Amino acid sequence: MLPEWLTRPPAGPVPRPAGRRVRRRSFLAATLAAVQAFLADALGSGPVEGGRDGGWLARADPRGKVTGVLLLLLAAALAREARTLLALHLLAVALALSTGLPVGRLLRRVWIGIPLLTAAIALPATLSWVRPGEPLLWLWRVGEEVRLGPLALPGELAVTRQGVQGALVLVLRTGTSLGYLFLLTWTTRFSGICRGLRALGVPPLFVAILAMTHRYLVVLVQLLEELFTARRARPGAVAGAAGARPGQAFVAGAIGVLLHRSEVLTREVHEAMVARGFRGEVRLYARPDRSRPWLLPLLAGLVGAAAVLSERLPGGG
Amino acid sequence: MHIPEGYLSPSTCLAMGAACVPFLRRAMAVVQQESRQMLLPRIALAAAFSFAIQMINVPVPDGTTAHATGTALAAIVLGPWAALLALTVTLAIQALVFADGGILALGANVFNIGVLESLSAWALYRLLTRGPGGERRRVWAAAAAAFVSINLSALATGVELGLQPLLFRAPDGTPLYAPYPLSLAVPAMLYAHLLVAGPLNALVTGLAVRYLIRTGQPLYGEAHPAAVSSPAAAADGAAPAPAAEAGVAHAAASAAHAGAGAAHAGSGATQPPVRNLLPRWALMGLGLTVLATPLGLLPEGAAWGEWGPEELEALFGYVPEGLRRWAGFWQGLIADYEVPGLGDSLLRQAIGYWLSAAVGIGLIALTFWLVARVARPSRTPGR
Repeated sequence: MLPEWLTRPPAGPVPRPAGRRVRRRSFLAATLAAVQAFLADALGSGPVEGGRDGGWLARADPRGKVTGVLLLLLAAALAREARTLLALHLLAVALALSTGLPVGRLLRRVWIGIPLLTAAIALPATLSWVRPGEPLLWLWRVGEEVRLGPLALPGELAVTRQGVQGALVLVLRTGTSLGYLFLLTWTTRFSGICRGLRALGVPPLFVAILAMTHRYLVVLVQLLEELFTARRARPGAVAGAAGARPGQAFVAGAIGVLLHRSEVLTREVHEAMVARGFRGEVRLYARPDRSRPWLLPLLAGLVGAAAVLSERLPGGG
Repeated sequence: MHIPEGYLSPSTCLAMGAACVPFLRRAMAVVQQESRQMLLPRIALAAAFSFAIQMINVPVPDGTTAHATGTALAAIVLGPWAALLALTVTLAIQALVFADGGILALGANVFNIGVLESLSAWALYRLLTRGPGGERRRVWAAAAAAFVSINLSALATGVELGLQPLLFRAPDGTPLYAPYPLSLAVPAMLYAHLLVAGPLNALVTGLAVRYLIRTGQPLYGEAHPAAVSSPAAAADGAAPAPAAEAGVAHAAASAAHAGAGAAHAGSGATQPPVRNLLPRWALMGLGLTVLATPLGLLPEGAAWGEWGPEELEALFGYVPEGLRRWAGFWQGLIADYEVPGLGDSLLRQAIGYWLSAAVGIGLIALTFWLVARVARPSRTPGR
């Protein structure tokens, strides 16, 4: 039988002063949230059912996937109409369905984030003030401009067709591109992406640096997590307890520790590489190739070309 | 500030990517020479470091938190070329793994953040720390470099985004990529960075540099405090043997590459007094110029190229649509240099001109005074 005090949730080390506004998230909590989101993404992403080791897309040759996704991204960048982009996005959703990825989670990941932010940013661009054009909806029509001190506001303001179309195309293009990118990262290990980049002609040294960075990123970020968790665990060391200065000093120290650790790791990694026979020449380990790596890029290229050409050929679009 | 996919046209992406190539080649050559076989782990760990510091939130005085981009800090700590390579790798991983910044837009992001921000931060830091100076001066120089470089990067981003509706739009005027023209994209980017992101970046960079100096960790291009007793040794270009070990090989090797940066150590130790910056003859000339400003009232017509809509219509017979729309947007602090309540006389207009000149000179002087204050060397040099 546990004593009652042990089952109570732990009280915060510094009680919040009464009568003051609620303090926002501390820098410790904000950093830890960013770090944990990163670690969850870097270490645990993609292991959704049908993900990296499940569906047909996960088993496909990574070189083909990287090239194919790049071609589709290019097609989305060249597309000019909302319906073309919508069709490309639907294709991404269909691919996700066919390979067994959770489509709801994919759509949430794609749309709640950059496209939503893009929509908010593009909202004022739908107005005649920014993008003059055919009015769809009048917001005000005073006739003469309205003066507010040194500023002069236009007398007429409307939502224009050109503005709405432009914003829609921008948001759809961002969402479609992200959809293909997540399709790739959810079904491909980082080593596979590196192989794909190598096949695209990216220099081996750069690919090797990418792979090594990806590995040691996790090491440094874990160190960051330990530093911040240790700080938060100490009673009395809660952020803002004595103004911002102690927190700032701690952050500066954390950056110094990270720098020092990265210097030490550089030496250790180099020594380990030399011990294993590294003589300055990068050779990437090649796995046995899967069959037909050209099939996916070919299909993606055909789909992309069809999408782009359908807008530009006479009679299309 | 990473530009996401879809905001830039493919041709812009291609052009920006091509613009990065010479910088990346130079960076590769310099870093390879500095770190020899250690190039691979050095850049990888530098990239991991640049990535990790972007996650750190810093408490700011109003009780909220903010995070810096870390670009200027990376440039000051790792050196401009290693920072450029590290940031390129960081941006590539952010785009490929975390969908932060576009893959096609990678070239533009590398140019804005890697090339422009890191190289300008380094150049400004070296410029402001030239000559003898203590910790305080280096900290302020780092903060100023962080502030200016992030704003330069924001300006470049604003220009790239602002060019899109100008260059790429459908025949009916529908923008195909980023929708805001230069006149809106550039101020929007600059306001946010001048007022919020810039000062925060400066704060975080200054604090981190102060810590690194106080704990004796060498910044790029500076000899290790414990390894080199005389700064003149580094200026000779000879890499002192003790500095080449203990992970500071880059500090020693940099003496050969930093060029002007390393040469400062041999220069004289005296600083010109601040008041000498404005000698008496210059002040008198400035006063005379202010007094002479109303002379502009005497000739007929407007200055060449400074026509308003009315003058333009009289000259060419029509007014461009853009000018008509924006002509009345900003009236200025002292509209047409006229002071209300002084009657419609030549004297009234002359007073308006004098007042405007005084306000303008005052604003410029204030700006330079602030810059000089920031760049002022510490009273305890060599600390």
